[in-house]
Amino acid sequence: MNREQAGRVLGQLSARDDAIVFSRDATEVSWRGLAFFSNYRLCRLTNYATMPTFTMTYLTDGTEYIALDGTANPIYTADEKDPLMLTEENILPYIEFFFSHVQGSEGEVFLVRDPHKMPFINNFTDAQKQSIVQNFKPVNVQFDAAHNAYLVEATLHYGGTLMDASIAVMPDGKISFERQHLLLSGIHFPDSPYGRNWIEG
Amino acid sequence: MASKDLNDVLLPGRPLPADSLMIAKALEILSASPHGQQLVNFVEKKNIVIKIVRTPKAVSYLPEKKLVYIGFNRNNAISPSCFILMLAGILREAQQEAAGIEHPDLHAPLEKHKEISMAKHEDKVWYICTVATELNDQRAFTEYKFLDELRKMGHNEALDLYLLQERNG
Repeated sequence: MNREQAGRVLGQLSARDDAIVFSRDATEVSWRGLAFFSNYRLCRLTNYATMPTFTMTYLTDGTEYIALDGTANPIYTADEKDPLMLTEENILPYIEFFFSHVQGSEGEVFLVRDPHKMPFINNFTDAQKQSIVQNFKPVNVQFDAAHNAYLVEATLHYGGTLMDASIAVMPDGKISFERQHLLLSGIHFPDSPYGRNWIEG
Repeated sequence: MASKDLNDVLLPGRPLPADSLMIAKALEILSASPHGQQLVNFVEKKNIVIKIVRTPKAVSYLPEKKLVYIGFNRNNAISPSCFILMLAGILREAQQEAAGIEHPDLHAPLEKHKEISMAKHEDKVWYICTVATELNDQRAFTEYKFLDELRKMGHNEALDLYLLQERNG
């Protein structure tokens, strides 16, 4: 965002009762569209005046700002305000978006699409890599007409383990785990699998 | 093999005491340590505002000289001892700023950033180690396991160095 647009966002956010203070001179504001929303998009604020830098991410329709706080609540709130357009093509991006912003007691959940491209794969021993590849179950997306839900079978990384799980996604965006089965343990990521990368647009 | 439950990701956030209560209790405990008491005096004298915010990960933040934030995930709340030590750290940073030891301008040379930021960080970590050790030595706070918490926060090496220096006088 250019300076004028960023200033507008900072102005809108600072007017809120629960506003978190950001430096006007040293804060970068950027945004990213989300295929499954019509009106809401992601907006990220990073204050470079502090060490380390401080970042907050919001879901916004340009007027309302919903802070992503690591729980599912803010995403479900946006889902209610801007009904989701879930399709077979964007169901995985929705799940990945959800997991990258919601954490449990063991940290983030990461959906493994390809074991060879799994984050930190080169940190593991050859034996571990082999086990990861052997245990990996490919992603399978199905629409369950009876329950009006997408069912996604996938291999997930959570808390240093790989799991084979069945994820149900309702039309309103609510997620539940229908089934989970431990595949491998001792697969610890040294850092967030989502990294620090952010591509605006 | 230990199994993790994916469903704990979907919890709506755990109930916690009121923010004001958490902050008051943390300041009360800090005041039981001589170096923590200095921070509490600083808060009172300079009218430092302490706020708790909901953030995906545990974080402390000083956007202005008199405003500090402690943020954490309500679904994965930090322990009381972690909260107290994070508060000690960010208050020490506020003290640095109040004393004129500020981060360089964003456009300052990298060397200057490295020099000042490293010095500030070192001072902050040293201060947290001091507070944690002073609290850990008191029987009333045995359950808080301040030194273990400090190690969990990633200050293992700094704490070992601090304790070594303490032993060597």
